[in-house]
Amino acid sequence: MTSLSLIPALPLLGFLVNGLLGKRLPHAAVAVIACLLPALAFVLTLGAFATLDATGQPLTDTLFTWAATGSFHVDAALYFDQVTAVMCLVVTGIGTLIHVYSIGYMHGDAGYARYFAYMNLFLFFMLVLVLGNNLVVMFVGWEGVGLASYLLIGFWFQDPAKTAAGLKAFIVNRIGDTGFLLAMFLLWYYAGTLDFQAVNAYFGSTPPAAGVMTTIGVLLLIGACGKSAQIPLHVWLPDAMAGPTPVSALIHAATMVTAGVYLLSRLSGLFVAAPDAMTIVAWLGGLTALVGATMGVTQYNLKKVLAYSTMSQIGLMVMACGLGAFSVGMFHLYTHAFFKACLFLGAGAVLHALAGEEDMRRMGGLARRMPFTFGVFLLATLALCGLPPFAGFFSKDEILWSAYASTNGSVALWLVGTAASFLTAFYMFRAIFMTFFGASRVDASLAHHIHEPPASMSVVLAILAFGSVVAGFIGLPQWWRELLGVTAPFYDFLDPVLGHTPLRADVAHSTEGMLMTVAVLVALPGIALAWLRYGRTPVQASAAGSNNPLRQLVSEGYYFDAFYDKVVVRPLGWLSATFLARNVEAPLTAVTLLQPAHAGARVTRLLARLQTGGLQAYVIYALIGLAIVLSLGACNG
Amino acid sequence: MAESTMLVTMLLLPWAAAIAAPVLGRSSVAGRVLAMTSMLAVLWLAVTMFVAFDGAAGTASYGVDLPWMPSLGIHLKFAIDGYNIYFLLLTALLFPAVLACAWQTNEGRSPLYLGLLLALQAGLLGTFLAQDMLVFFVAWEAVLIPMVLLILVFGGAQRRRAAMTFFLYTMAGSVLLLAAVIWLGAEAARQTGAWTFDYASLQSLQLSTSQQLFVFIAVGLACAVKSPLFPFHAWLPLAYGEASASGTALMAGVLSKMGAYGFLRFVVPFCPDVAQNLAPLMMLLAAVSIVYGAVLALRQQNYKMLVAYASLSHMGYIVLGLFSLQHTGVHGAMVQVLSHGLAVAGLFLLLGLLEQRHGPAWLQVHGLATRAPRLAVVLMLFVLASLALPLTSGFTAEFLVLLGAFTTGYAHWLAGAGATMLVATLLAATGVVLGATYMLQFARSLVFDDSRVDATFPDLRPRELLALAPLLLVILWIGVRPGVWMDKVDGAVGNLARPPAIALMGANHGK
Amino acid sequence: MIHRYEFLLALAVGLFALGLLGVMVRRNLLVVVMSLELMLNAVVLSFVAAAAHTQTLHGVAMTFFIYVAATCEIALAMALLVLLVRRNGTLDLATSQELKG
Repeated sequence: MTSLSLIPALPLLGFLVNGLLGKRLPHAAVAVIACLLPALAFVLTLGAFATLDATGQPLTDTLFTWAATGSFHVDAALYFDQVTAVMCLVVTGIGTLIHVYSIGYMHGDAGYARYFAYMNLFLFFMLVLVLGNNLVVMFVGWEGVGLASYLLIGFWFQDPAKTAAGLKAFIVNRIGDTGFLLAMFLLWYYAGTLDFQAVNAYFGSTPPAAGVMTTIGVLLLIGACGKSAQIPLHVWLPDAMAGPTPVSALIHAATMVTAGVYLLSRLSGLFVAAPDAMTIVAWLGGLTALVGATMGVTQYNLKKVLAYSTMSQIGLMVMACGLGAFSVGMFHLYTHAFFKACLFLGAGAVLHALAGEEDMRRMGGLARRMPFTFGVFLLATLALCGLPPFAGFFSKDEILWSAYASTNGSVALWLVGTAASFLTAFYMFRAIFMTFFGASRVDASLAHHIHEPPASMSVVLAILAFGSVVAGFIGLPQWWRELLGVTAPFYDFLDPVLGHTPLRADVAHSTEGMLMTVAVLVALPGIALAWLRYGRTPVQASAAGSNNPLRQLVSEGYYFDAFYDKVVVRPLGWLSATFLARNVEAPLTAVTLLQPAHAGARVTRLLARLQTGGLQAYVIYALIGLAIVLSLGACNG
Repeated sequence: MAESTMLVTMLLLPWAAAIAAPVLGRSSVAGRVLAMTSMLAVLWLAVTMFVAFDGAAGTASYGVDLPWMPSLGIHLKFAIDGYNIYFLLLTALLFPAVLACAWQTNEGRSPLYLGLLLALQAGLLGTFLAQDMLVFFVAWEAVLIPMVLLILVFGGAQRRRAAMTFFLYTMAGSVLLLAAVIWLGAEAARQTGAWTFDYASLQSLQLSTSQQLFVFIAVGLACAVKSPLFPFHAWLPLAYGEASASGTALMAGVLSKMGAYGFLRFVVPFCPDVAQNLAPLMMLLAAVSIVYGAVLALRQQNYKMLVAYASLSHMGYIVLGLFSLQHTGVHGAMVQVLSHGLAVAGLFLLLGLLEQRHGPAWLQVHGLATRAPRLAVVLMLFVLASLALPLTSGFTAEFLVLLGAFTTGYAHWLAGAGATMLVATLLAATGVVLGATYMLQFARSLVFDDSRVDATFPDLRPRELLALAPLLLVILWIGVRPGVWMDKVDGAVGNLARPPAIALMGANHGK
Repeated sequence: MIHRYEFLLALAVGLFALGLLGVMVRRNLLVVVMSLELMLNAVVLSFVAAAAHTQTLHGVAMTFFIYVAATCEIALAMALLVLLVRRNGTLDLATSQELKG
């Protein structure tokens, strides 16, 4: 066993120890085990990263043959290249931080050990997903994180609404997973292998017909949609906020939901050969970015604002992948992990202070009481809004530039991305103004309870806020690089695997600066509008929003849930309980079971009449039988 | 121990114990101990043979061959080969678990129960190990007697009706099986001049397409009833619902696998051409079973009925994979035999444990997670295996089945040979989503729903945990590392697989 | 002139038919049993006739077997008759139809 296989093995060990013995261990021991093992995994990842960086050669580790028969062969193998390295560092690094944060956040919870066991289980599966050398191993992690997500969303299972949210998340993900599975079957059919490198090489060099490529691309996209909460499979993400806030930060913001982007990047060689699928990916990402942002505008629940924001930001990453700018998508994934984790954990600190209150209408004025939390939240918000020089600026700007300048890009796509940026600035500052500014609308009974988070939580918040500020400097845009005469280590690092964004020949270099300015400028009116609407005028604690039909449409999530309920859930229920059970199962039982039985009974009754009980009748039957036998014998012989 | 001695011991031990255990009487624990000892000995023998079995060759080993009715060519011939090794292990694994779960119940104390259980095991071992078709038939029918009695004596309120239905329905299915067996013997006499029911000899007969069709329908119908496969499942809800936990666990766990066994042991090898021609129909039937069972399971309020319909759905995967006639698909079908056998038996046994603790009101049990956390964890693991989560055997099985079915279906579709198989595969793939839905609804209601608080009851006892642990262990083992298991049957799978209609694409298929 | 052997066979057939008719139509159980005896004796007669005709002992041997069987049968039949009379108070066959399906 090499150090590579130890990376996922350590969290697994943590899961087993805390899962089996956690109840008997003191809370401190549980926390130490749960945080130390991911931290060790992070150190090992750093070691692997150093080796990779020095040699430039991907690390591999074949553990055993998972299954082999005929021409089918799948190894349980791990693979660590540049893309993996980025994901792995994010997962173990941010993961460890959130574990540390959880020590304080989950303090005193009855399910303390169970919580950390699930969290470590999640890390294990996430690392399997990231490190898998082929699609099957990735799928193991892919469904595994779904399980961890299901368990953690429904962590407080006493509340039926929370278990329902977990159920929904798993089932919607399963729909995506089915797409993933079918894509895998097609890949195997054509390439005869499921190893990422071989698949990319095969489809890059000898792609089958365009229709097949598009089908494969779309099926993979369906898989990515499920996990990464893209339209139309995004409906589980807002409900998933039912889980503890660190879970939302780790799973539903920083790592698991970005797995779809990772999948697309991992198979970039295949997608490059499927231009139609790329266009669909780009537009679906753009659409999700925009729609997610609009839904964030109408929410009053702080966590749900962040959830829709996550959906929107991942939409941008998916869009980048669709534009061929895979490394840019990965870069945004990396910066997003910092500031979105920071935002969620900041929100967690607020919730912690307000005893679980999530409604922004019952917050307000918290900046005075929690200046530190406000500070980190603001820094992360600025990063999310894409203001320079914060981390989000560099990654988001590069995506918008790709939307315009990539061979797959267009002005329309750029406009979509820019509109999403404007909305992002608006809803984030709306949240800030409602939460931290104005008069306090906090319930009187909670007001004295408001406090800054404990040290274990603040340290993590500070680190993440710091990351939100500086993480972007390793991936400066082309235009800046030339201006400052520096390199972009992030892009250079990923270059051997993901390559460069294919740019149109006709775009002028100076346009990049102009677009960048527009992108920054567009955030400012968003902030201003938020100030006018929510900062200057006091917010009513009972504000329910107007009955404007457009607003209604958006705040109901464009009726996606209602639509699925009407079109899928209810018809299935009807099919199950009414149609199949009553109109098929019952008649079928009648035809195959009851009717033959009754027919048999009728025949029996008929034959029973011969059995008169009279001795003489039997003698007559015997005589008739004898006559038949004798006459047959006479005829034949 | 000589190889044949081991096999004979394994076959006779349950019979001997079946006679001896009831004699020891009701009051003492000796009967149960004897029965358990016999079952553990069978398990030990089965494991030993499994470990030593060389699967790559695909040939029979541990053979024993005694003349029974030599003039008709009927031999008491038993052996282990790639076809039956999984079935043998499944039978050997489930019986001790079932008995251990019923240990303290009135049922478990009854001498009749012990005798029936052991007789059932003996019959199943005979069915799976027989290498002579007439002996196979005798054992196949012999299984019915203890099973019907188990339902009749230890079942629920409607047990008479359930036992009758189960008995008559499966008997009706078997009538044609007997006809086919005799016909095959006669055909052997016609072709070779001597009556024989020897499996290998029958397999080498040259049958015309219409003759194959007769065998296919006759044997296939018996298997379709036993499995069951839609639309031959009418006996299932009643029988699964009314039998006691042990009975249902064994019926769903092992008895249903007799149908699967018949398909892969006799139907496909005896009728290769017809099997290939009718594969689209069979795959469609399997896919309909999968979806039909899954959709019906969605709205079942009764836990036992839910698992019963889930079982119907999961059995569909076996037939789907087998009739893909493709390496991965057939492997998947084989793995599903073990996987479903263990998972569904585990679920039914756990439901039985709830019934033991809670009496007739067990259907209203909720919130296991707080009241019986260990029980909840074990139940969740079986649920996860049932919904085919990776790292459990369910995933290995469903993945391989769907991969095989898809490959065959897609190849046929590309070759212009009809889209039925592809449609069937896509239909079956929806079962992946539906399976997760009903299984997690089941878990939510039983394990998590804490809103309706009722009386407390004891958590899983060490004895019960010990009974279920081997099942979980195998489930996880096959999930994590199926290669070791698949090697054991690779030779047999190679015999069942047919080359696809058109060659698979990609250079990597050639190697 | 009919041959002696053929005459005896015809007599046996006639006796057998008479016995059979008695078994089929009579309702008194005692008479039915007597008719049964008549049928048996008809068979015995045919055996004896055949033995005399072929000058062998097989047929004669057969009569011994039949008489042994008939003796046992009549012993059992009489016991059954007595029981039935005790139970039903009559020998009418119509009252003993408990095997009716």
